[in-house]
Amino acid sequence: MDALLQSLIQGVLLGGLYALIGIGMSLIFGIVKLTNLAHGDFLILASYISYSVVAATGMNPFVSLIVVIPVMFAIGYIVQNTMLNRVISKGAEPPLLVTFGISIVIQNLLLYYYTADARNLRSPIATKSIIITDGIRIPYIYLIGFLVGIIVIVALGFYFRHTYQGKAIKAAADDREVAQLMGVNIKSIYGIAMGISMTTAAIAGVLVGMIYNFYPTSGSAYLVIAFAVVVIGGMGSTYGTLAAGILFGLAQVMGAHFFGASAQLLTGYVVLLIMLIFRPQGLFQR
Amino acid sequence: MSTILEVDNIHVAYGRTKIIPGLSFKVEEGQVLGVIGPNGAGKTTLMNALIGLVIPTEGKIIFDGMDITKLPPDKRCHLGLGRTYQIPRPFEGMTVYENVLVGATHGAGRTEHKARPYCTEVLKRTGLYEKRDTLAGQLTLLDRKRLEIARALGTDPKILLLDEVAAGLTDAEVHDVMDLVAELKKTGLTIIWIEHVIKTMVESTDKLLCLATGCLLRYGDPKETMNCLEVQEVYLGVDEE
Ligand SMILES: Nc1ncnc2c1ncn2[C@@H]1O[C@H](COP(=O)(O)OP(=O)(O)O)[C@@H](O)[C@H]1O
Ligand SMILES: [Mg+2]
Repeated sequence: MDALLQSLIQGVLLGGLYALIGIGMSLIFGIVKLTNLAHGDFLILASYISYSVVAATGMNPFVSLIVVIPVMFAIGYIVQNTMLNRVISKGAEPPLLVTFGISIVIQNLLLYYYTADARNLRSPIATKSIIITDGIRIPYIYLIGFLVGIIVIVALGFYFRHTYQGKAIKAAADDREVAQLMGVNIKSIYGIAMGISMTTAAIAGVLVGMIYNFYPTSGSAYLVIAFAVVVIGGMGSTYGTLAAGILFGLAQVMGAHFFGASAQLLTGYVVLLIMLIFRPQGLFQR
Repeated sequence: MSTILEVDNIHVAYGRTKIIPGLSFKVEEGQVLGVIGPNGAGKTTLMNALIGLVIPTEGKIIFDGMDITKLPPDKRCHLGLGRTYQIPRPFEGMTVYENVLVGATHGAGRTEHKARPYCTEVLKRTGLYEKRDTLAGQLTLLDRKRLEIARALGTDPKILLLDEVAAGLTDAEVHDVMDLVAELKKTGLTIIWIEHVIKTMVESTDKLLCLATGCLLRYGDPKETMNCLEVQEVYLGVDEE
């Protein structure tokens, strides 16, 4: 019984982190109508930037976010404005291909600067847990990941609902052409949206870097998680992404609980496949 | 009276399909210019060119003494061009108020604080004030048409372009919309008004322009335009709803 409860808790907490991994990709899908194939690589890029900051200053990886977030926001804004906005009017495929190119370039840049060695952002907190009973322990880092995931998603919801820039982004997501006629500078809005997406990638990148080892090619694994969460949640739906992250996390951990650790990824992807077949529009699509 | 808009020999095409093969006319400030013509004549295309959704391959559009031929739509909005869609395209997931607010802030360059009373005024003027908190996706066709006008007014236009606001409405509803346009005219707004209901057009416009297959058939006094033989031929067999 304890073991099941432990798995449930772990699944939900993991889900918050998954939502954080997917939310930036979901935003860009919803606003720019673009599947950012480089999302996972950007996330890992943030892990490496944090790694360098930590190595240079000795600061805690969490604190490094005061550097990593602005850097990632700027990267997002610049990439959108100098590359993606150029091809955005040429149909759906050209921007998709550009993100694929960006993905490969990031991976190879990381390989060049950091070699293929495993890195991590371990800090003492990564191994500590809150002990509830003998059988139930809540690892701090997962709890933090979960809470940060929720805070980020609620903050984004607030931003879209209550700021005038957020409303312009919502309008642009709803109807790009009409938003332009309302005086919204669509390219600048897309740049800001990508900056926000990269901000979430920065936070997710630092968190996963504190939990798992990473390599220049690790981005692909996170792209798959992000993709799963975005598909299950319904492309572009903020709170759907949160629910989807938790569902996906639970599916994985429950799979591991009932069928053994090696089944964790498999059960997650089986759930994803079932979703794709029966509800391609996502569970929570309005 | 001064010229606020000058269209100088514009050629408009979608890809390789030429729609408007050279069209020129002028609009005076404060006037209501009616644009009529059969379906597919290029009326909406003309509006798209004026608003910047399609860039003419040749010719010039001068607005307020400024060449805007190649400006993107958001810049034209800032300068004072607003339009409505023939088939309303509200931001469905946003409230009526928010729909107007987007243009009132980003289009007219107001802060949200300053935009609020302005939005309220626009909503009252267009008869949408009671429905300000309704999601735009839930509005009736008449209210959607009103919202099209309200949203365009929110951007503080100098010229308002109306694309078949009366299409699809019942007679009583058409009357409502006509009254609204008449009210707007009184405020001194310049209006370019595309419509299919020809009778009302003669009564409520200062000048009437008739398009057929992208070409100007006739431009001038509304009654004279309507009585002109070529225009009548184009409309022969077309019901005057
Ligand atoms: N986006 C488009 N691409 C290609 N052709 C178009 C497009 N929009 C309209 N057309 C064509 O242009 C012509 C004029 O259309 P339109 O300007 O909508 O006419 P109107 O508004 O006068 O009914 C029509 O033959 C129509 O089929
Ligand atoms: Mg039309």
